[in-house]
This record gives sequence, structure tokens and C-alpha cells, in this order.
Amino acid sequence: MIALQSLLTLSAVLFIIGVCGFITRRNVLIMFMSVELMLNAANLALVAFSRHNASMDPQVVAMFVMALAAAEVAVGLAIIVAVFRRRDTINIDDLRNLKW
Amino acid sequence: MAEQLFFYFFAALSIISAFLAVTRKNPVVSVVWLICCMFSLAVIYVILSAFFLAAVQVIVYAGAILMLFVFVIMMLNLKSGMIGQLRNLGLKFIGLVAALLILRQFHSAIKGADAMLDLPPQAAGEFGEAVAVGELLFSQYVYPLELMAVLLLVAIVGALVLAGKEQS
Repeated sequence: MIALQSLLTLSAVLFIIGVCGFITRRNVLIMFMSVELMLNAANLALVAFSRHNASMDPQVVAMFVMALAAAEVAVGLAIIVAVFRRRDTINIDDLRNLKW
Repeated sequence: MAEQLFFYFFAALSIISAFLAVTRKNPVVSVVWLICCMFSLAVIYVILSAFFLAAVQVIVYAGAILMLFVFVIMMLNLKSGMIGQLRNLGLKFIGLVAALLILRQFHSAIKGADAMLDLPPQAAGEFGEAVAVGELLFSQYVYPLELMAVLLLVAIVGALVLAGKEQS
């Protein structure tokens, strides 16, 4: 027996760690990893509810979230590489201009 | 009982590794901790009898996404001065406030959920297995699936355009 509550609490804690990482870190790569962590926390909540309601639909949604994360990472890392080529930095504080 | 022990062990492991992932200075170390977190989440998916999703979690997240991170970190060839420090106190304060606000919201949302999931008896039939998920994916969710395929194609093209050869 596992309480649904403890699963949701785990999901919430992971999400909050992700939010904190996104706000406090200035390294673009680690900010990006925090976003991944938040997506995973959401997936965990979906799977918990899937088990709770004995319905598979949330698992399908979690699959879509994973595919979305893959697409997001591909584009985001490409942007990071392109920015690093031009500006030679991955610190978000150095990347304030919209155009240079 | 064993499931409970497994669950609490891997829940603690995922929280600890997630915390270490966002606090380490070196991005490579962060990625390794994040992989640890993804694996423990995959174990929790297995405990919740979402077997196919657990496999996809390991293959896509640990295998593809985080490897992509490692590749990019290696490719960027960062000098040690570029790895930022965690020293901005104002940001830490903002992070703490945001965390407390979100925690409060989550708390009021979670409070009502007092159901118990009895884990050892499997949910009916082939719950969470590849066949069942696939059937759902290709019948009821076939249009979102096709849209997701287009999205992935666009992402590939976008990544190539952005990170491909610089046209000077």
C-alpha cells in the first residue's frame, strides 16, 4: 500500500527543486536540466493518477510529454550551442540582449 | 511491504539526486545526478505498474536526452571560469520565496488526496504494458501522435538550422 499522497508529495518536491534550480542557477545548461526535472515531476503525478484511476490515458499523455521534452531539448541545446559560438559564454546574465 | 520499502528508498534517492543535480557547480556532475534521478523515477514507474513508460523513461530520458546534454557539454569545451557559481544571494532568496509559495499551493491541492494504492495485485490485465499503451496510442490518440511526429520533425530541422554549419 502506498498512499497517493506520498506519490504526489514526491512529485511536488521534485517540481519545487526544479523551480529553485531554474531561478537560482545562472548556468544555462543547468537551468535547462531543471526544466527537465519539472517535466519529470509532472510525469510522475500523471502516472500516479493513472494507477489510481486504473486508466491508461495519463500514461499516453506522459508519453507525449516525453516526446515534447525530446523536441525541446534538441532545439534548446542547439540554441545554446549557437549562442556559445557567438558569445563564448553560457552564463544567462551575459545574455541580456535580444539582438547583437 | 517490499514495494513500500522500494518506493521509499527510490523516492529518497530521486529527491537527493535531484537536489544534487541542481546544486553541483560542474554541469557534467549535474547530468550524472540527473540520470540517477531519472533511473529512480523509472523504478517508481515499475512499482506503479507502468512498465512501458518505465522503459521509455530509461531509453528516452537517460539514454537520449541526457546523453545529448553530455555531448553538448563536451562540445562546448567550457573553461573552468565559465562555470558559474552559486553565490547570488538575492536570487537564492527569490528561489526560496517561490518555493514556499508553490509548496503552499501544492499542499492545499494534495491535502484532499487520501487514497491508498494497493500495489501488489496488478491492475486489470495488461495494464501499463506496451501492447495496451500502443493500442491506445494508435486508436484514440492517433491525431496527437501524428502531430507529435510533425513536431519532432520540426525540432530536428530547427536544431540543424540553429546548430549546423555557420554560414558567414
